[in-house]
Amino acid sequence: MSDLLLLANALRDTFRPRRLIIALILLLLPPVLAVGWRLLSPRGAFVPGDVYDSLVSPFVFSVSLTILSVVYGTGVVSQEIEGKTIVYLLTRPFPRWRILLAKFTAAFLTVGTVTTVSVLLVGLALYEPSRLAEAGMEADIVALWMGALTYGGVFLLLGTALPRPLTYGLMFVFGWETVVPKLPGEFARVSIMTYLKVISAREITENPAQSGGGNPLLAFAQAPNLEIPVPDAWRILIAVAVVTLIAAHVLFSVREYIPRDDSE
Amino acid sequence: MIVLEHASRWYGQVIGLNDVTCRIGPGLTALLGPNGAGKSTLLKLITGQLRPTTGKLEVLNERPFANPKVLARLGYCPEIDNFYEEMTGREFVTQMAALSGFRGQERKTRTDGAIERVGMADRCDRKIAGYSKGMRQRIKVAQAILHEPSILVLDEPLNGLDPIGRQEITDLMLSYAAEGRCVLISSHILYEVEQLTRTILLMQRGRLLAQGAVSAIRDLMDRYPHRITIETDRAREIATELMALPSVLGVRLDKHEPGRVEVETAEPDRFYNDLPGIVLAGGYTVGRFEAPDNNLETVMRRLLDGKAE
Repeated sequence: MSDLLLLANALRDTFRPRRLIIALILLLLPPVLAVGWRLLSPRGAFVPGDVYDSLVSPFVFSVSLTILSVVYGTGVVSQEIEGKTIVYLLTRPFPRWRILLAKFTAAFLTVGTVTTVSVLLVGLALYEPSRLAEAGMEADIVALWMGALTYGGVFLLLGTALPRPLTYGLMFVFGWETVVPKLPGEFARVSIMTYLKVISAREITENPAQSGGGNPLLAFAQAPNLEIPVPDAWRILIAVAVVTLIAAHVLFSVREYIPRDDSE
Repeated sequence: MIVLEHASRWYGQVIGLNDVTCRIGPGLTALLGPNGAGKSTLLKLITGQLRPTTGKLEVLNERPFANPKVLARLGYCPEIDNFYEEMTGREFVTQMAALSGFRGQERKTRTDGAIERVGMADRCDRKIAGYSKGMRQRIKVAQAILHEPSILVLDEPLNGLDPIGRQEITDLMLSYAAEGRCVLISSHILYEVEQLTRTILLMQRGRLLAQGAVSAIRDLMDRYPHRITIETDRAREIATELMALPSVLGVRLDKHEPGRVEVETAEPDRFYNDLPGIVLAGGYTVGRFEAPDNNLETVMRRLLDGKAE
């Protein structure tokens, strides 16, 4: 019961105005672009599948999922430290790991829900209701929830371990996760996004590499050419999520959290 | 209830608490010292937010850091003025009750009881963001007492309270202490502490300068001159008589106030014994008698200045 109350309060906390604005922008940007694309496309040239792939991967996966995961994942702990409210949590006879788990669950649910709704709205904006199944949204939604868990675990660990985790998190998203998959050789194997693309199992109808770059956004949607079996991708994502979540919970249970300017 | 043995705490290269040894038992104890003295560090150690870098710290015979057994019996009212601003006072205290392990009706009863006890029953359903400083202070105290702790630690608990609020919270602390609980409060405002307790811990720069009753600390100061001011009708005559007392180090007549004599003594108790005899025998009329060095503020100031060490 106490965990549920904590979870409910943490969920309510995700609707703080500043965070809510970020979430709403990231939720609505892809469907708004989808509507615009549909309206502005020449008659006969509109292929819903291509537009869906062009929007979901570069925007929902690479932008909405990662940014929301950074903001909410690192915020689980850093928000309490910066707001100095962590003192109320850590001076109660409640296991620290349960506090963290409740607050992380709220962050995970928020990221998963926002990205799922965003994908659903993109699908509804592009497809006729009777052809909605063609979008293949199920695989994307599953991958987004897995991404919310894996990225969430990584950023939760950053939040429990480092000062200014938001900065490091954004560097990870826009540096590591953007650059590493594009490096030659096997580097893409050390990017979480690589495995998310594998499990979303999207079939791209147009290959910009082969067609001379007809739609450069589709490059984002493609899984890297590494021949990673889907079960392996699942195992790796689950392993990263489990290891980072356990590490974060252990760290939170043993670390001292005192705002710097609070120390005498 | 609380035992520190050579406990020190470092923040990197900065020392927050330096080799502190003390025992804090039932009753009300005041932790005194200026800002930066190490009071908050000591309270954070006791409340299990920090570990000592060296030395030993036990609260209720346990190490307090992140220890639910200790925290279940310890209430903490921090100095910070930070809250979950979007919550109401009742929601905040309810969440704290939940984190204390209370469920259902018990949680509600505890929450209502604590809110009632700090006088917030009529305002607890408003958002904390709209609370005055005094209301925020009361809610902080409510979350600290809701589980009826054996040890109550309050960091500057009277800050921002109006006179009625101060009296209510003071009464609450005194009633807790009277029940045999350990109440530890920190303060840098001495007069409020003088009204609460005679048992103090005096800190400066991370060190414990003195511990015990104020009177014991005053005894420690007896090696050093105390000033006592007397206003009388025949200042020059009484000054001559006082100079003859072995306990008196010096006497000074005030040029601007002719009836005023300032006596300096290293043995105030002996001087106070001798003074009535001189006054009665000489038939002096004493209009005013002041011992400015005889209050807690002076005790503290002198000790902090290092004059009594």
